[in-house]
Amino acid sequence: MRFLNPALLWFLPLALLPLLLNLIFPLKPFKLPFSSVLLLRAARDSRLKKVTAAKTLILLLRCLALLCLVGAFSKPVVSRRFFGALSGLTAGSGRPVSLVVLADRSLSMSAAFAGRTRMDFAAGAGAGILGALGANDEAALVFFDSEAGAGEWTSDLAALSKRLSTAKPGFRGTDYRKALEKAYTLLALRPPSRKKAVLLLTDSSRSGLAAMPGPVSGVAGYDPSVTLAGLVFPAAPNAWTRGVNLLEGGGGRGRLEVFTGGAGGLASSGLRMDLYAPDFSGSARTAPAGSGPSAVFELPAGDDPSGRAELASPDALARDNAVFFSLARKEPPSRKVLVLYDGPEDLKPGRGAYFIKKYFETEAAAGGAFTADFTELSALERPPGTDYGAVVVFDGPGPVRQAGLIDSFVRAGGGAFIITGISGKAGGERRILSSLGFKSGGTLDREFFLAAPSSGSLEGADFSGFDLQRIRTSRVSGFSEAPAETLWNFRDPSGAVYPALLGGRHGRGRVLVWASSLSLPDTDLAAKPVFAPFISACLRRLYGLKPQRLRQAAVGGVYEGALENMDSVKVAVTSPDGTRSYVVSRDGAFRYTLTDIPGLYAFSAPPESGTFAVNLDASGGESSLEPDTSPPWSVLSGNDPAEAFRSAVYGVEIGQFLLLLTLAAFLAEFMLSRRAL
Amino acid sequence: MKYLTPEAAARIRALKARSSPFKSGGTLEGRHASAFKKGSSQEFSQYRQYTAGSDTRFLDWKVYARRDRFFIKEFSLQNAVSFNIMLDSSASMAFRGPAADGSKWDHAARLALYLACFLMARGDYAGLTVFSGSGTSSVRPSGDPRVLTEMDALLESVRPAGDSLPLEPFKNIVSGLKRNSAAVVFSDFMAPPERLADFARLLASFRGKAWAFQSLDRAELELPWEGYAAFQDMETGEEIPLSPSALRAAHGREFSLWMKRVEKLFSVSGIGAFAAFTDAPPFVTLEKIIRIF
Repeated sequence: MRFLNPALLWFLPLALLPLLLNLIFPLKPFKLPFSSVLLLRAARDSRLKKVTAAKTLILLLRCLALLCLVGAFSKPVVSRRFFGALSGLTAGSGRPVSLVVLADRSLSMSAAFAGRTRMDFAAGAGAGILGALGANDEAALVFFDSEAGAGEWTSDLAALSKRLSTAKPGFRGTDYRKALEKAYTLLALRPPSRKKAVLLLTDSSRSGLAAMPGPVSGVAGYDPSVTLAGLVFPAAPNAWTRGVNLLEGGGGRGRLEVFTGGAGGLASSGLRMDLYAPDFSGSARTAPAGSGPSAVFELPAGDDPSGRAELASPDALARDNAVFFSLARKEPPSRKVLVLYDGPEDLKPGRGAYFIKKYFETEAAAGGAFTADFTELSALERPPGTDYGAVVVFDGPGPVRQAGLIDSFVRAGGGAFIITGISGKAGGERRILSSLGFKSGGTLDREFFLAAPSSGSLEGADFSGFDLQRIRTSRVSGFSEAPAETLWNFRDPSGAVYPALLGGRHGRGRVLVWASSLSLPDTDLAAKPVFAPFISACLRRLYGLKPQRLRQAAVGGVYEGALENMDSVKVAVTSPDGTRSYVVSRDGAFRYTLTDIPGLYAFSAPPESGTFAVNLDASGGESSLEPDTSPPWSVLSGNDPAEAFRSAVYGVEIGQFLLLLTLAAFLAEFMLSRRAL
Repeated sequence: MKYLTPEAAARIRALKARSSPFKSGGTLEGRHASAFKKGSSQEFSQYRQYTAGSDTRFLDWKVYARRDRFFIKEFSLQNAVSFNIMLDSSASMAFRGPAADGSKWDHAARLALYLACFLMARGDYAGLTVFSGSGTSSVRPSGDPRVLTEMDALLESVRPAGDSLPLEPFKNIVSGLKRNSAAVVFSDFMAPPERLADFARLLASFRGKAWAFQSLDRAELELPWEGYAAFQDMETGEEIPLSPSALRAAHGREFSLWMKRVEKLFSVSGIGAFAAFTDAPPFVTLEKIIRIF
């Protein structure tokens, strides 16, 4: 509350005058001889409490009346009108106003309201308020969402109104803290003689206040003399997609999990969700809300599938119904493997080749990506060729010729998975390993168990769910030279580690060496559940297959792209609206920051190309469309925001209300005096 | 005379006498015609001056020849009742309301004198006693109307003072009353409840017939004053400051309750009780009183 005639407040102590007069000059009764006071005393005692209360109330009413009278003449001004027109008149504008208009263009301002968007309604209110300003007033327009833009002071309020009317909401969240800090910074530059105010053309979304440091006084640059006024929109039912997740599927395929959310009483379950992609499509009904995905789609095989999943939900905000996805996935030319075993004995149950064969049979039955042909090593006449992408060889002392064939195959780009330690054939020169640059270091015959992979996972496969310590090995091959890195270790009971799986490059190809056998007498690895994912991971490494991953970023975030080409190259990125821009890739990595709109962005750095998805950031709660019921600014009523703004900024003079109160107090005092005294 | 003017006396005597409702031991009552013939065993009692309406059979012509004035012989067989009229002359009786013609004392004194005149007019005896805390004064019961002058003078000389219903003086008065007489007490009965109860018991201890007549001022009920007043008790001097308008209704309730208590207090003791305000015409009040007798 403020006062237009504050000097008159010095007369406030006059309100105590009735009390003082009552104490200093008590009422003097005239003497009246009476026959007997017996009955008077009885009557007085029966009404003592009531009379005392009435006298006290009369005194208080007199004090209140004087208080209200002095208050009325001091012309108090409050920020909001109460009791309608009885409150008083809008206080006159004595000082020119400097107004910062914070126009919210976050995602939630796209929501529908009364046939228009919230942004349209807010812009109209803002234009009306700007139109109500005087010739000496000035304003600055600042657009904000999760960031606050720049603003400049101008007296051309019509131009500001026009800019406001043409503004469109974006896709970002809301951060009121940054917007208010910008506003306070702008207002700090204005002279103190001007009245300062901030108008928030926003929906007062709860998500936007999450970053506020408690009360508004904690905002940097806070000025208590600045009046804050803004709009509030009611909550609206809305459903939205909030992200995707990728699961490995069999056969190199993937499963796309889509997550949704709902608010305002709108359930996100049972809604139709459609999947759109260039080469495939699908439809599903969303599941009831829980911790799991709302819908799951099977993605077909193929390189770099991309598309979008969209909720068919008629709600207030349609812009958050779609989520885009782009998978980084490369299909190798051939996924056929050539398994070279030592002899027919190796295909018998319990032998390594037998287990490998079972693996491929199971993989084929499940529609897996890898298939295999089996032949004896000695029958290999020529390099496996391009029909095969990798070989699995059970190494041991063998002819030099096959070793050379395999060496050529790997050098040409193929992969070789060498299983050492054929059961029963310990020792001897390992020809194939030798040709690949490995020098044998002897055989260790003792108890070993499998430790965890060196880097925690192998080719993206997580083995933490397997009890690796129960996998025993009794024979391990050592190497005095190994042009490879240790990917996995054995550990003996004393804790000493020995390489179990080594991997490296040989020419253009890749080599993996398992330093033991796969046969049951030597190890029980092939009998454990970990065997199949282990072989799959090894084959992926041999084929140079990277795990499928989503290429995505959030709106307003940074996309970290990867290229095979390690050189500095120019990468062209085309946004969903067709805008093309360029970034430079160094060491196979590039960063793209112009992620203002959601959708599929195409990048190209020949011969490489691909897409990545930019999606709305649902973590901030922007899509919930729930307002904060008590925002830290005066809420302007929707019926006449200009008048409400004037009342908030200039205030309402409640002098006439106080005069009415004075009259009421005097009237009540008069009536009570007549009855009580 | 202050209270009993000749006009009033004439008017009182003109009132139609009714038979006295109580028996004092004889078979004849009041002024009804005696069953005995003249000259029988009726005993001459006294002369009284002739007034209009008196029975001319008992005119004493000898006295007329001597004095050229008419006198009536009275005989003891008429069974005249001796009424002891007692007036409370406490300070509270001096109260006079702003609209009243006189104080409660004036009102009670006038009525007492009117009653005495009436009783004498019908052949009964009337005596007067004025009592208060300051003392007692009395006029012996007589049927001679000339006693009325003495009564008037006594009443005029009294200045009400002292406490209401003093028990000791009244006790002496009651003990001195003849058994076959009657007692009428005039007071406002504004005394503490205990004293009032003791007074009623004292009055009830009198074997004869008794009545209590309460004299009240309208202002004592209505509190017609405005503003802020300090009501001072005329007997105790106690002051109570209050606003009459604020207490009017509550005081009215207390007053009505008190009047009922007073009436009940006397009626349970077999004492006839009657109350009147000073603004009522005296003759109207007198007629109501004599209807009770």
